[in-house]
Amino acid sequence: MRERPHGDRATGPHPVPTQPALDDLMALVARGDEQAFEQVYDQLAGPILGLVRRVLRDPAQSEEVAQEVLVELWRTAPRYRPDRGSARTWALTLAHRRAVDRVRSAQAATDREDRVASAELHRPFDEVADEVTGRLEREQVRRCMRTLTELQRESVVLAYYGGHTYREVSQLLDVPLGTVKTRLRDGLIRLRDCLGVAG
Amino acid sequence: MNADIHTLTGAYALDALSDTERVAFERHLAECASCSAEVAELQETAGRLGIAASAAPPVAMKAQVLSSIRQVRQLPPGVPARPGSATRAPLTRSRWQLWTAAAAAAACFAVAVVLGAQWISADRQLDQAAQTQRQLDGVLAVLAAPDAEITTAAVDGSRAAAVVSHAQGRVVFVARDMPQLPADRSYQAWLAGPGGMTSLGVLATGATPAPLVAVLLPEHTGIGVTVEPLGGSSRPSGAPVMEFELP
Repeated sequence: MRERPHGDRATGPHPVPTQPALDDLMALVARGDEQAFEQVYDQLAGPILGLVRRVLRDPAQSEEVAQEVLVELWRTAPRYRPDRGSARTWALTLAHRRAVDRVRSAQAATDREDRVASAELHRPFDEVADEVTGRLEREQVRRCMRTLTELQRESVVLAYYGGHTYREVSQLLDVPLGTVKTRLRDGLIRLRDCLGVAG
Repeated sequence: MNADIHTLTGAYALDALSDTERVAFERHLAECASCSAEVAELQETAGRLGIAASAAPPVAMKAQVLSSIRQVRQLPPGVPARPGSATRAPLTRSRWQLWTAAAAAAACFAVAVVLGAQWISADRQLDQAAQTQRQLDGVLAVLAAPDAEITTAAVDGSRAAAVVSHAQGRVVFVARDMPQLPADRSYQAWLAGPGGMTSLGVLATGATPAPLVAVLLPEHTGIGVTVEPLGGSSRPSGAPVMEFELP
């Protein structure tokens, strides 16, 4: 299957600048090409840091984790396989996992207060409102989030941006476990279809 | 009960499973093609959620990351990182730089020659000179062996090399500029094998101690260097400060 550069697809009046394809760069990085890695950094550092900060909140820890993730991309680039998904997805999956691991180990689940969760529910993107990188994606995500039910959206936001397990989400939203599982899956499927993530 | 597990694809893609649940689900993914396919798409979707959270990285972060990657070895492609796998790379987790074989060979010869000149001095007693001469012969024999293989490592300012000749059944270990130890301590090198650790020798004090030569058996898989009481111990007293995997 061909690589699918979703980030390059313009769906509105916003022109997307051409960048060397991340997947191609990653193949060079796998061979130790530091200049290719610099370009990978230029494309991914912002997304990685932003996502980690969104989950972890603490700026200093976020920067530390983001740097760890970038170094880990370098270290494991020889294992990246394009047939398993885009390089960007691989990188952000790693970043999200690391951020979630860190936030869960930093605080016991019971310490994570409801007020943090409700802040996440109501203002998911305000911290990055001025950032050009990701503006197109933010608009797409915002638009596609509107195709979800409120419960689906809340579950997805709490799980993904809040770093909560689905059990925690069920407690926070006071809904049964099975309901949360289904909402997370259905919500992501709707987002998948709306964002045009091809099968 | 089992039908339930498929509904976890969303939670999994969002990293919303506990560690134990994640491991169990990954086992399931290994045997459920439709779940795997769905998870791949949902992870890509989650990636789009991730991009939407982009921020501007601090300018200083780039130089730090670029500097950090120079201290880190990339994984070999497709080969699981298990001890005993077919690489001649050091297996330590601390920071190492791997020399090219050519540079390592040149350095190793240079070091051995320099050391040879240094430790055979006119001031030595005859019997000591004879012993040292035998050691030098042993070192050179290994270096000159047709099947000699070199593994090197460098950490901070120290450099070390192990030259192995299976045909000769010997290994030469040389290290220089190791961090200075207190007066009551020595560096000791050990050969690691299934039966445990066998002493390879104790490094003399100073920045350029004489190389150590020892019998090498096929079962020896690595070298470790530990800090021991002065003069060495019969078994390692702590974790190695330096490690090699032998070819």
